[in-house]
Amino acid sequence: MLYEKFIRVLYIDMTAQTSRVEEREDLMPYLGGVGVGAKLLEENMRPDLPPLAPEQPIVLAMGALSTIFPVITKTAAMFISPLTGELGESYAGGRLAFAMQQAGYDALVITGRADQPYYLSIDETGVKFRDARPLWNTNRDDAGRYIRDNEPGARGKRSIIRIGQAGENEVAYACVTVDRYRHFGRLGLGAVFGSKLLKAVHISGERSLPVHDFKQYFGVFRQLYAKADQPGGVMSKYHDQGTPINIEALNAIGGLPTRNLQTTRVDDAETISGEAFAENDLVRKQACVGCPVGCIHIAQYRRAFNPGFDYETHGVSYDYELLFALGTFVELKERQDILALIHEVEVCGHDAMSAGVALGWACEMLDRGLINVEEHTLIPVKFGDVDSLRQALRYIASAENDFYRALGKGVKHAAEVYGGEDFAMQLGGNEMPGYHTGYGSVVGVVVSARHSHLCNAGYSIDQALQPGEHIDPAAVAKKLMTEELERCMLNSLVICLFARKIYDRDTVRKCFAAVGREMTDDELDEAARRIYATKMRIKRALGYDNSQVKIPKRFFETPTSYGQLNENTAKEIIDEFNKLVNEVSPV
Amino acid sequence: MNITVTAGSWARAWLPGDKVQLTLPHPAVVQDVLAALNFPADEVGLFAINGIAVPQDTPLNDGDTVRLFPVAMGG
Amino acid sequence: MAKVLRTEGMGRCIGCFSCMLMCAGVNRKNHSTSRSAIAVQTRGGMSGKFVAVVCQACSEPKCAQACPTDALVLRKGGGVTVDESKCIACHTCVSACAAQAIGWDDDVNAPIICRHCGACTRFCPHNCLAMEDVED
Repeated sequence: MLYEKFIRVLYIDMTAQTSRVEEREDLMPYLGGVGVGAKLLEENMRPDLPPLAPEQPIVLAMGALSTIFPVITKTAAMFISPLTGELGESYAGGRLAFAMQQAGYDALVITGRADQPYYLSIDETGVKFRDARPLWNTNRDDAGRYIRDNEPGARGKRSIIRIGQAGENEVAYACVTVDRYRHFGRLGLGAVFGSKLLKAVHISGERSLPVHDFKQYFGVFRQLYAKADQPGGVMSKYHDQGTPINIEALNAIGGLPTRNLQTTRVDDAETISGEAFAENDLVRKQACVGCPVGCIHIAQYRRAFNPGFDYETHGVSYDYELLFALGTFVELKERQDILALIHEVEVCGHDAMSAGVALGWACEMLDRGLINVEEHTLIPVKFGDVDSLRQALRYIASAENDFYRALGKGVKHAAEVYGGEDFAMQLGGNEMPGYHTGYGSVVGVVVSARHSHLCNAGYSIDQALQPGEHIDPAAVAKKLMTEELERCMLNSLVICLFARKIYDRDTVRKCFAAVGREMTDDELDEAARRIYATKMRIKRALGYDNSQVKIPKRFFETPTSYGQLNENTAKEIIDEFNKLVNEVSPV
Repeated sequence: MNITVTAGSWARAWLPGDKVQLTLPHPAVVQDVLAALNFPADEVGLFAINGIAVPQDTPLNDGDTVRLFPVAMGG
Repeated sequence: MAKVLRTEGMGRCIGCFSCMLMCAGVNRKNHSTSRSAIAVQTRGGMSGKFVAVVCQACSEPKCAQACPTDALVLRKGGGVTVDESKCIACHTCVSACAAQAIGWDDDVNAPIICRHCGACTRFCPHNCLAMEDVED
């Protein structure tokens, strides 16, 4: 807790419907966020049981500096991933960190399994178990509204996180929606919620939090606010058209995954570019609490449901990753079609990226005749056909038949059953992100703790190279590890990684000092290594071995923007990275 | 040579308007537009001519349109 | 000329809560938005709109009329200032406020009422909030 020398953990048992609070001084060296979350996961997980066993924990942890400085907005979720069977780590903004701070909890640990659907109502006074049977089978909008109405008095002071049908049916990449427009997306936290019959968590509070040294705190706050809010400054690209600027940029270099990664460029990128969305469909922006940037871009999706000009309208938040996964990857070329598919993903409660990659594989499988409509897809699921793609998403959410149930376990599993492993675009069991830029992007996702491009920004390393430039595997591995360690520390504060240019070491130390906690660079390095080592122990305990990862062939067949990748070179980089892992976290 | 430079609104601190016309002496390469505009080089991730990325030492021709992109970033 | 806070630009609000964080910080040296005199809320959830619930600077404030100890004093331009030494924590002003804009500070046991200082206006990225000159 801010200004305290302990981490305040709320333990919740869904089976017994009890809760207790512990003040853990021993967790202080883990800072918060991913650090505290990883340690609590290690303490509470059961490596001997399957990922969705009732005993397994959901850990949510806010950060050491949450909310009080600009763009330090996120919460870390740690769990065992039903998708990969090993480390689950996911981040979300919205209002969750703010609400946890207001309620007075650094971390929540939820174990057990209820006998019927519940949602948790948490505040300073404790935990109430609310009957969620009326909410089971509702989408995130209806669930949100029901809970808002059911919890008066918490207006403007709360966060509501909830699952959709995908989570209820334990789709391995089901997400948890946070405050309507944000998500714990990757690796299937939604399924863990669903397996506990936990529909949602409503958390709110009004806890007083006196500032200790206002002069110092306010001075640092003002500086950072000015940097974050500066027109044309370092954050402006996230605010203006946002990450969708990547569509044009990646298309220009030939790194934009298209048509199940058959290619890396589209024709007419201008019609689905960030500028095109912003000029034609963008209607408003929103922010997470504590961030003046407002990077949440909300477009209007307008759907005609009857002839005679009958429209319904929905606000759909869009970001680069969605435009790739639910756009170029499945060859949708109309912006309203892409928004329609994003909206469907939101209604079902899937992770957008995994869902898009799953659809891409399914389309190609059907196209090649390796599966058929009657036994498998039920409808002709095709690249570029938004209606069939939307229906397929619904079939995955409802586990409509064996094929869709398998597809709901991830594209790696589905390919093991039905074939097409060479073009099931996953790395380490997690469906690929929207960058095919070189060894950095491919190997970076493989070796990173949570198989995400955001762990170590491999795609940034690629873009610093000229196409075909000589690769030094040890140098690439070193760059990946340096970034991965630094982000372990940043993700324990928990900054939004968009602000990583603002939160250099100088700034991080200033922020800690302003709240009475002097941290040296060495201490921050140590914390990063401690957190990373914890994650590695978790992965090993769950059976993960970096050297055993098989990279699907297409990653080496389709050229990246750097050039065609060589499997041996990729392996060399992985080996070099593993050497570094053993330095930080000896086996 | 007459060169046109474009970028998104992200660049508005350094680029006055959506499109800027430059006159550069021949020979010039793509990255020379930055010095001519006082545009910070570390803000630029890539250069594109006609929608295709080009290395920063690509020679310019009269009438080229150069588009600037920030370093691609995700989230 | 006196100044009062106006919230005409809420259609541009992004819900960042910077205004609340700064009000609580500057005025009550507190990190918690529960100590803010301005409350940003949704109407219709996050896909609805944002509204600012805050003192409307009434020229005949119902809160002051309701206060049994004259702890709420009319200020120039409208609204009131709070004399905490006179407050007996009866909470009558809270229910009397026509805009439901009075909060409560448990630490000092007194009402939280916007004093139209303008701190929030300096931390709104979209200029949704502004100070307006009014007759005394």
